[in-house]
Amino acid sequence: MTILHPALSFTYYIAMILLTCFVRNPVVTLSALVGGLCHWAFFTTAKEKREDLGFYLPLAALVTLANPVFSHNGKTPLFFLNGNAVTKEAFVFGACSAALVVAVLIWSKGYSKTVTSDKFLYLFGSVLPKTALILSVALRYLPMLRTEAHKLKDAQKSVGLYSKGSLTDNFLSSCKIYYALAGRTLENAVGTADSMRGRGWGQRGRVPFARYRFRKRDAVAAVPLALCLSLVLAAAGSGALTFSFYPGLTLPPLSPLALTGYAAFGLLAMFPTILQTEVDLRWRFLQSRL
Amino acid sequence: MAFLTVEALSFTYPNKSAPALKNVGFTLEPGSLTLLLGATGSGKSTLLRLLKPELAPFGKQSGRIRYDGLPGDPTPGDVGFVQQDPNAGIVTDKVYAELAFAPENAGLTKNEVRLRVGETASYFGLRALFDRNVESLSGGEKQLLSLAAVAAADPKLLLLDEPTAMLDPIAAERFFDTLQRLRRELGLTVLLAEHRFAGIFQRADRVLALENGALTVNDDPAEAAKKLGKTALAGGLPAETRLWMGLGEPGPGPRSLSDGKALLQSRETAPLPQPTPEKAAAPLLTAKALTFYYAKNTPPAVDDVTLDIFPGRHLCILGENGAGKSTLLKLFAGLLPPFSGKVRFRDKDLKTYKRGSLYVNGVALLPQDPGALFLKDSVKADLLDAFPGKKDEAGAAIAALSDRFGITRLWDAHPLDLSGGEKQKCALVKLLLRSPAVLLLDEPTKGLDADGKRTLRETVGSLTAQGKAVVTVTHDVEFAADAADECAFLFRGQLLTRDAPRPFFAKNRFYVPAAGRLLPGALTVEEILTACGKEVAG
Repeated sequence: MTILHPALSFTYYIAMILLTCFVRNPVVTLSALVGGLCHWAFFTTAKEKREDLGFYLPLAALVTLANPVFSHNGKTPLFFLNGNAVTKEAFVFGACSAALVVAVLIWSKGYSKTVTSDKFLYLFGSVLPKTALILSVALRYLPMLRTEAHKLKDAQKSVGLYSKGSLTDNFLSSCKIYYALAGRTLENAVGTADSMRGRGWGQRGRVPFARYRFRKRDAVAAVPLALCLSLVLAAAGSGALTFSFYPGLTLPPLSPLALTGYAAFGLLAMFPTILQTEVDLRWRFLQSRL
Repeated sequence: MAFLTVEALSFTYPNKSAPALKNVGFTLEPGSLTLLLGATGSGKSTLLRLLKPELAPFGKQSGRIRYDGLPGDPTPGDVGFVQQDPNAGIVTDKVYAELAFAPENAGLTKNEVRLRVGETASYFGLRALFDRNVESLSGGEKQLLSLAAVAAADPKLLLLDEPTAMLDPIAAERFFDTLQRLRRELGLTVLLAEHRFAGIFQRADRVLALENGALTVNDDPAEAAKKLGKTALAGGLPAETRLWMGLGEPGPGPRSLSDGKALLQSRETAPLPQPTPEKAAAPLLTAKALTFYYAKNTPPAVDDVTLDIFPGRHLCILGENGAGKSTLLKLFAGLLPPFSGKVRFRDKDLKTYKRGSLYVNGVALLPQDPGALFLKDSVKADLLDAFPGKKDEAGAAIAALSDRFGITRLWDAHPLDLSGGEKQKCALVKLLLRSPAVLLLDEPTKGLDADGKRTLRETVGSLTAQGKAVVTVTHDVEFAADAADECAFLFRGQLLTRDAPRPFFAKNRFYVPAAGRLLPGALTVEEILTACGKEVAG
C-alpha cells in the first residue's frame, strides 16, 4: 500500500475502517477480518505477529464471552447460568463484535504503517497550506522546548541550585525554568520570523512542495477501488445488507444487489493482499531474469 | 562594475545618541568573498541587516546602497541571509520542508519547486538527511541546512552573520569549505561577518573591519593583516601571519602554512623548553573503569575510563563530536548515573552525596550553552540567586568576582542580550560564587573570538593557581595547546592517551595546533617567536 499515492491509501483505509464499523453484517465483518489478517501478515514481522496475537486473541475471547453473559436477548437458549438464559443470538452477536473490534484494530494498524504523519501533513498541506506550515513550525518548537527545558534544568542542578530534591525546591525550580524558557523561546521566535521574512514569506502566494505524484499506477488502482466502494455503498444504503441478530438471526435475502455488495466488499478487503502479491510476483519475475 | 556599492552610510537606532554606523563606504565585486571583522557591538550586524531590505532595522539612515549587479530592487530571493543561531534560523520541523520553504514562496510552479528542492538537497549533500527531523541534526548539520535553505532561493548576494559562532572548529571549517564552493561554482557574492576568521582569512578577496561603527580597514588580506596586527583582532589572524608579523619580515605576507614554514627554514631556533614533571597532590576526583550507555544494545558512550583529576591542574580532554566528551563531564558532575564503575570525589562515591551536597564547595559544570545557567531578568539577580552564604555578604562577594572578570557593567543587562564571550564570563562568575573545587567546562571556547579565548585562558590559569582542578572538554586544539597543563584524547568513549601538552601534541599527527605545524613540537606562535629570539609581550 505504501507504493500508492497518500490520497488513495488514506481514503482506502478510512473507508475500510468506517465500513467495518457501520455495516453490521457477519459476512462483511468476516471479510474485513480475513482481508485485514492477510494484509497484516504482510506488513508485520514475526515478533510483531506474536505480540499482536497475544493482544487480539484474549481481547476477542473477552468480547465474545462477555456479551452472552450480560445480554439475555434472543430466542434460542443454549443453557442457563444463575437462572439467566445464555442465548445463541447473544453469543453470535458477541463473536461478531469481537471480529469487528479485531478487524478495526488491524486496519488501523495498517493505516498508521502506511499513512505516516508526513503523508497526512502532506495531504492536508495541499488543502490548507498555512495550517500545515503552522503545524510544522509547532512540531519544530515542541521538541526544541523539551531539550531546552532539560538543558536549563541540568545547568541549574550542576551548580547545585534547586537540587535538594524537596517538593518546594522542585516546584520553585520548575517555575523559574518555565519563566526563563518563555524568554528564550520569544528570543528565538524573533530570529525565526526574520528567517521567514528573509526567505520571501508573505510576498506572493505559496506553492506547496509536492513530495508525491499521482501516477498512472495510482489511477489504475483508483478505478476498481472506486467501483467496489460505490457498489458496497449502494448495497448497504438500500438495506440489502442489513442483518438482525435479535430476536432470531436473520440473514437478509440473497438478492443480486446483496450478492454484488458482498463480492465488492470482499474484493475491497483483499485489495492490499492482491496488490502486495502482484508486487511480490513482479519482483520474483525480475529477479529470475537478473 | 561592482555588484554592490555602499556610499557614506550612517545609521542611528531610535532613542540612541551615538550612531551605530558612521560614514561607511565600500564596494563588493561580483563573485568576491569579503570578510567583515569587528568586535561585538562594532556595527557588523547592523550593516548586514541594512543590506537585506526585509530585515533592515528602523532608525535614522543616510547615505546610499546601490545593487548595481541586480536588474532592479532586490527581491527576498536575491539576497540570502544566514544568521548566527541555526536554531532560530530554521523554521520547520523537517529537513525537506526547510529546503522547500524559500522556493514555495518564490512564485514558482509545482514542478519548479520540486526541482529546486531536489537540486539543492543534492548539491549540499543533504539527501541522507532529507526526511530527518531538524531537531535530530547536529549543530554543524543545522547550520549547513540553514545555508542550503537560503541558497535554495537562488540568491546573488549572500550575507552571513557569524554563522560559525555556535559550531566547533571542525564543523566551522566544513561550513567555510561549502561557502567557498558556492562562491567558486555559482559565482555568488559573499559578505561574511566572522569573529573566528583564521580559517577563511587567506581565502577572502577583501577584508573590512569596523570599529565603533566606522570602517577602519578596507584592504586585501595581506594589507589588512598589517593594519589588524595593531588591534585587538590581531590574535584571530592565522598562525603564519602572526609569525610573519612577529618576525618583522619584509615583503608580502605568507598565503598559507607552508609559506609560514619557509619563513622559519633560514632561521636558528632555540630548543623548546621541556616540561618538568611535577609531583602531583592527591587527586580530587577519580573515575574508575567508568562505563555508560545511553540505550540498551548501543555502543557505550563512555567506555572503561579510568582517570584522576588533580588540584591545581588544567586537564583538556580532546576528541571529535560524539566521542563521549560531554557524557564524561556529566558523569563527573553526577548528572548521569554510571552503568558500571565509580566516580569518587574527595574519596567518597558520588552516590553518597545526597540532596545537592556534591555541589557545595564541590563540583560545578559549565554547560555548552552557558546561557542555560541564567533564569532571571538581569545578570545581577541571577548572581544573587547563586550565592550560597548569607544574603548580606552576597554583595561584596559578587562585586569582587565581577570586578575580576570585568562584568560589573553587565549587571543590569538581560542575560539573553549578552554576547557569547560575555555570557561565558558571567556564567563563570556564577559558577565561582558556589566556590567549587572542581570546575568542569564543556566546550568553553565555542563562540569566543581570540580575545575571549585569551581571557578564558587567563581565568583558568588563575583558578588552577588557587588550587582548583579544571577539566575542559573541547575540539579546540589551539586552546588546549595554549591553556592545558595536561591533555587527554577520547575516541569512541575510550581514553587513548594522557600527557603534558608538548609530548601529547608531538605524538599526534592530525590533532596538532597550527604552531606545531610551523615548528614541530611548538604549541603557540609566541613560543616560536621566543625560540627565534624575539621579545614577546604578554
